[in-house]
Amino acid sequence: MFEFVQGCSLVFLEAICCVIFFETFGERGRWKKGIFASRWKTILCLGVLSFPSAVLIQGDIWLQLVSNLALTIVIMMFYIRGSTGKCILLAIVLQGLLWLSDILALLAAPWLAQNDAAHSRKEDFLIALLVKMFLLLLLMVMNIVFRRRDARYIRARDWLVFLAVPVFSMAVTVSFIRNMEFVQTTGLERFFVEMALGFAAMNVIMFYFMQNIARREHLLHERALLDMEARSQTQLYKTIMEKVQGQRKLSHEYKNQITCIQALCEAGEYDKLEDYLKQISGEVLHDLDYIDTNNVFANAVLNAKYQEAVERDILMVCKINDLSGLAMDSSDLVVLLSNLLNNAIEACEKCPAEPSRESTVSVGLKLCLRKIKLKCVCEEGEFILSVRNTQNGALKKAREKLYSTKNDNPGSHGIGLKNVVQIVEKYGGYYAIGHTKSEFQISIIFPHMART
Amino acid sequence: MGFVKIAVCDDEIIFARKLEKIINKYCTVKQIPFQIDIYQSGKEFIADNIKMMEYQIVFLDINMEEIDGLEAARELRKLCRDTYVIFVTAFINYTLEGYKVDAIRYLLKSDGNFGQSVCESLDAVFEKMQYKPHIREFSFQQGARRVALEKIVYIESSLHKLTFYVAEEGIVPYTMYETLNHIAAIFSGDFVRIHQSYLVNLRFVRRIEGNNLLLQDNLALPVARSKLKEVRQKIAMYKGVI
Repeated sequence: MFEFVQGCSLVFLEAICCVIFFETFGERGRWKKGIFASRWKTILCLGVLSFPSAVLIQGDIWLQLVSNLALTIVIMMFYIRGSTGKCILLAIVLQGLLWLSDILALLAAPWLAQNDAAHSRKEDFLIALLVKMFLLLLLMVMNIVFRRRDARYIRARDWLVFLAVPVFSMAVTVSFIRNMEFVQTTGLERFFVEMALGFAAMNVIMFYFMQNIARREHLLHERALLDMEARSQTQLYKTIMEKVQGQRKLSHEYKNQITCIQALCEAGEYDKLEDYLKQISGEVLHDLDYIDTNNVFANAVLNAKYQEAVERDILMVCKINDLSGLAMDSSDLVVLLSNLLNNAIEACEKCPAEPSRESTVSVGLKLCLRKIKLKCVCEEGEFILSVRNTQNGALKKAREKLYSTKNDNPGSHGIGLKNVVQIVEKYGGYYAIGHTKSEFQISIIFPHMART
Repeated sequence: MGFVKIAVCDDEIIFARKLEKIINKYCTVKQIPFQIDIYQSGKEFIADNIKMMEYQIVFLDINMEEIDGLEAARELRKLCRDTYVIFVTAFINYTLEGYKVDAIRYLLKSDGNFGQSVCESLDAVFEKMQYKPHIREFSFQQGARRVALEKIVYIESSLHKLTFYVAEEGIVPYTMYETLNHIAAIFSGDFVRIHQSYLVNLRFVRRIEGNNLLLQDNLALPVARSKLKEVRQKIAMYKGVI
């Protein structure tokens, strides 16, 4: 009975190896329902179905090989999305790896179990298990390396820590094998084998556990992106609402003001009238948009961000022209502008403000540390958008660590920029990013973007 | 730097004085010799053609009676393209033809950062003023010649021969025996290698159309597939500069 369990565990370990290998090079989920939609059911199926062939055609290696191959190919064709040819090729490679591991087991046996006189079957099993664990480790590493896309939200260091587990369990198994000769009781022997099996199972569980974590991280990241977009949309909605309400209030007040002026005129109080006019003209001016591009959405964002910049002591220089012919989805335009300007404002805020400020003039003459230059123009059918801002070099580094490992990756400039890059790609535009320690610039060109 | 002549044209005298004070302080600190004249209307400013052309920097208020800042700028541009025009306005508007008269900055009067804005615009102006063309001497087959790098539209290489296309009156080709790789180092960041046999001045680039680079005067040059990404990035960076 115990030997049957041992045999089963080896077969299932092989089945797990097989599934990991196929998942590395193929996309699972050909079937949405049924046995092959689930990973564990597939593994069970593989394991159970390989029993008859193993029992019936014991001895003939070639026949066994062919039956194993056929089984793998058929089941994996249900499991993995991909052509038959790919399945066949992968199955052959896997079979080769399994063979190699068997050869490794044969080679390692004399080295591991030195007293070949008392070579027990338990020792043989442990060696086989060890080699399978090694194969498993190899396949896991392959999976992590080739499926970097799935695993990218877990840092390389964490993966290394995780990989210590299989290495450790292999080391323990090796020590089991080497000490087997001193073991006298069958009970202890069985305990060793059970321990080794437990380690193997733990490896598999850990691996899928890490994968689940990676997936969850991925979902969290996506959610952060969505949240950000939703936030910028709400913000835009708010600014537009405020503008509309402001306008309504203004036209209401207009009536009152006219009445007041009329009254002052009739009473002949011209000095008071003059004062009053001065007062209200200031108010009206205050409510006006500063920047007008002839595009409601661009105006809403640009003015809101301009106000924000002024409030935060940031000098904002704009170059704009008529954007009425811009053939871009309004929501995309808003996301684009608000993300770029938010990033710029955020980066500027981290720069020290001017030390002293006795008068506007003296402030102006100090080196201005918070500066945003925005270019937002349609020229020759192209929409050119460029933001250049001062930044604090130290901040930059901290950010890179947070978001990305690669320098060139847009992720290294915060989540917002990722949205921007998505939009740029959607419209077939292109962009360039440049930065020094104290300045950051992003420049985007959208060809064929202006209606004529 | 020589003597800088600055004009401030604004019908609100208080504001003009404020602007004058800021410029005064800026130039004193930066040790730039200067002279400021104040005009109280567009009409007054454009009245004397010759005097108008003497200014290197002009601050123009847009909202003035009779002749507004834009009108004045247009008059100025008819005579002279080198003057740096800075508009001072209550709000930045697309309808401003200002984009056409090539103003270097728009300043918002009501802005809390007005002092800083003025200084920033002066920084930008003086940076441009100090800019000197990079002139180099090349020995062409047509004879030795001093050429400003800024005037070279592009360089074509074929069979160990280089052809420089220089914007003079029309585009004039000059040839020399040399290889592109050999001399590419002379040409600064404003040039981009778009192909094994073309080095192009970004200043003359209009846009990329498919795999072709369109230059001024409807010239089109092929961009090598492997260089497309780099060329696009360089163009984006160049065009993004304010």
